Amino acid sequence: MIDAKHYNFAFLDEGSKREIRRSILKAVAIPGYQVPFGSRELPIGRGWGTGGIQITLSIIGREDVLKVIDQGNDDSVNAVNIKKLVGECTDVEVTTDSEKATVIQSRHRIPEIPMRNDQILVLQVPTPEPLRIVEAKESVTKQMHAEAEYSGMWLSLFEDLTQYGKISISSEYPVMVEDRYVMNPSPIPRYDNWKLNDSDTLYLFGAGREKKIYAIPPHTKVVSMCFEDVPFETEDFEGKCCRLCGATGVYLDELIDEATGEKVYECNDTGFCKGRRMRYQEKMRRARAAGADMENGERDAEESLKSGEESV
Amino acid sequence: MAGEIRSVYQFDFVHDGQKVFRELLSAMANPGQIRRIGVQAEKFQGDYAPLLALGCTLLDNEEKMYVEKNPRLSSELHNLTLCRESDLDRADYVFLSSEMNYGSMEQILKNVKHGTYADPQESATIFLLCSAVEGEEEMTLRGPGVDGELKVKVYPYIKKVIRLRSDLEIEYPLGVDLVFIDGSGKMIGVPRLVKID
Repeated sequence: MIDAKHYNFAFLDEGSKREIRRSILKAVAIPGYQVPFGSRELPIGRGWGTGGIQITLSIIGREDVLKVIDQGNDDSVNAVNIKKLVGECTDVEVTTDSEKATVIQSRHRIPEIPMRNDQILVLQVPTPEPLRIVEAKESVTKQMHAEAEYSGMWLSLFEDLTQYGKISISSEYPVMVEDRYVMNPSPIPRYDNWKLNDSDTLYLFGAGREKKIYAIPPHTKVVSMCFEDVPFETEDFEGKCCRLCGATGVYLDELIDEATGEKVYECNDTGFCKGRRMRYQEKMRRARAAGADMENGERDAEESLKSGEESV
Repeated sequence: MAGEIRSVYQFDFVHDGQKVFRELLSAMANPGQIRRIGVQAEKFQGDYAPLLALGCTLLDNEEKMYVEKNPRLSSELHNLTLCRESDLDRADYVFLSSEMNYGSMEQILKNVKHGTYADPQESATIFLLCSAVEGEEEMTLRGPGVDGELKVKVYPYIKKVIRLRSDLEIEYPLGVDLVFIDGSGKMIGVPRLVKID
C-alpha cells in the first residue's frame, strides 16, 4: 500500500467521497436518472474510467475483494492500471474470479456468471446521455428527461430501422428504466442488456468526464427500447463456441486464425473462460490420478466441457 | 507533561463511515431488508448514536440539515460535520430523533424538499429514529429493489409513516426517501418508488 501519511485510504479525500456517496444514494432512489456530481481529478485521464474509479474508491472498504475488467478482459492495460491504483491505495485483495469479488468494476461487459445480491457492479460510462444523438445541448436533454419527452429517441430508432432494415445499434443500446427514464447502459453489448432487468445485483454507473452517476438497483424493470412489431434482438452466436474452453451461450469475440485465415471464436469474459479451463484441467488431473478409469474420466471431463455444463 | 488528548467518540470517519455508507446503500438498494450499523453507532455516546453515525457519514458544510426539536443533536451534528441547520423546506437531510404524531409527520412529509422534475435529486432524505425497527405489523413492499413483493414485520409507526407518504401521492420522480433506524442500529430504507399495500 502507498504511504498512508500522504494519501487518504482509497485516494480520494473524505469530502469527495461523501459527495459521491450522496449522489450514489440519490441515484439508487431514482433508478436510471443521471445525478450530477463534482467529478474529481485523478491520476488517470478523463475518459479512461474515472467515473467508475471514483465510484469504486468511494464505496470500497478494507474487507472488499476487487475485480476489474475491460472489454471482458482481466489483463488489459486499463484494467491492470485501475487494479493497481485501487490496490495501492486501499490494500484490498484483487481477483479475477467474479464469484469471489464483492466489487467489480467493468468497462463494456457484465460478467457471464450471474452476479449476486451481495456484489456491486460498477460500470465506466463514456457517454451517459442517451439523448445526445438527438440533441446536442445538455440543458435541453435535461428538460427532455424532466418531461419524459422521448419522441426524438423513438424517431431515431425508427430512422435506423428504415435505413438499415433493423436497429443497428450494437452497444449502448438505450433502455427504459421503470417506465420513466431512458438510460444509456454504458457501452455493454446488446447481449448483456437483459442482465440489467430484474437482476439480483446493484449496478452503479459512473461518467467522470460527463460528471454523472446513475444506478439500477436489484429487481428493477429495465426494458430495451424496441417496437411492438420489431422485437429487440441480441447478437447471435448460434452454432459457435469458444475455441479455448468450448463454452456456448456466452458472448464471444470473433478472431482470425493467422495460420489458417479462418474465423475463430473465444470467450470475451476471460475470467470465466480461464475458470472453465482450470476446472477442466482439474477434472483431467483427477481422471489421470484415478488411473484405471482414465479413459472414461477424460471422456467425462471432455463431454462436460463441450456440452457447456458449466456455461450459463 | 500534558496528558493524552482523547476524542469523545471513537468513530473513524474513514473506515466506520465507509461501513455505515455500505449498509445504508444496501438498505436503499434492497428496501425492507434490515441492515445493521450498531457496531459503528456504538462509537458515539448517547441516545442518538445511530443518527450521529449516519450524519457523520453523509453530512458536511455543503449540505443543509433540519433537526426536529432537538438542539443537542443539532449542535452535535454541526460540531462533528460543520453541516448548517436550515428551515425544513430547504434541508437536504432531516433528522427526527423521536416518534412524532401523524399530523406533525404529515406536515413534515408535505413540507420537505421533493425535488423538481429537472432535478429530482434535490429532494430530502429523512432519517427517523424509532423505538424499534422490527415489530408485529406486517407490511408488503413492492418496487425497485424488491423481488416481486416482500412481506416484512415492522414496528407499526414505520408502516404508518410510509402510508402517510403514499397518501401524499407525490408524482415520481419527485419524492422523499425514508430511512428508519432504531437504537440498536437496525435500519431499513424505503426510497420514493417503493410502495406498500
